Amino acid sequence: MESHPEPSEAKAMLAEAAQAGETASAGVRLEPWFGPALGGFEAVVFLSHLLPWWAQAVLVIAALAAFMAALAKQLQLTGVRYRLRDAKAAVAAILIPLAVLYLGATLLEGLAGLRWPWALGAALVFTYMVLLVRHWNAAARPRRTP
Amino acid sequence: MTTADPMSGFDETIHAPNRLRICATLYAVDEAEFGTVRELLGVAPSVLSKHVAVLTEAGYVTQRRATRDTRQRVWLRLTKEGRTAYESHLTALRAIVATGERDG
Repeated sequence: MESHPEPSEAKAMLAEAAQAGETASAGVRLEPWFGPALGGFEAVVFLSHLLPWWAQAVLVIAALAAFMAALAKQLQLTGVRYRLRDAKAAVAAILIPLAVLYLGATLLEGLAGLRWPWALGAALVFTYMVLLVRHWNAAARPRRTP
Repeated sequence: MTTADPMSGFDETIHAPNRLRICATLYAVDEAEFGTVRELLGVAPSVLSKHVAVLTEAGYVTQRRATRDTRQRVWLRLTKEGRTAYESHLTALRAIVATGERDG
């Protein structure tokens, strides 16, 4: 016959399950170079606005592809593949601010002929990426040794 | 209209503490490497193997072998049945807790 646990035991097991789930989904610490390297890479994309539009487009696509490849490599080392909704949240946290800054700089240049927003955008992108990775790392568990 | 008894979802296979933690870990992610799950649970490989075998036998977990850095690694994933069973089990545990709070 099935024996059900006491309520106190069931409560403890629920807490343990919640803890295990949180630990698994917390993510792992990324390499220290990850934030500055990607921030620098994105900053280069911003500063490349003096190039023709098609060269910029190629550079932006290449930068994003390189970023996704670096991120995938980092995540592969974690021993965990995250659920799609978590991956979506991470990609949104990166791409939405980038898109907003890029659009803002494009508009300011197009409407007012200003070039300095690109330099400001590059500085903001770099700072944002460094802070974002630092924020992720603060909440993450140590990376497992291969 | 009848309401399904939440206690009917109680699953003896999942209930064992280590198996509950394995399911909780795999439920939170898409797929996890055997070594990572072992580290997260803090158990010996043989212990994890034994529990994974029980969950695999029940159809709750699948194992996939993949080569990385020239080494074979085993990835674990909760099946659709496993996810449903785990959710039902948590519902049953919550119902037990609620019963205790109501009676206590």
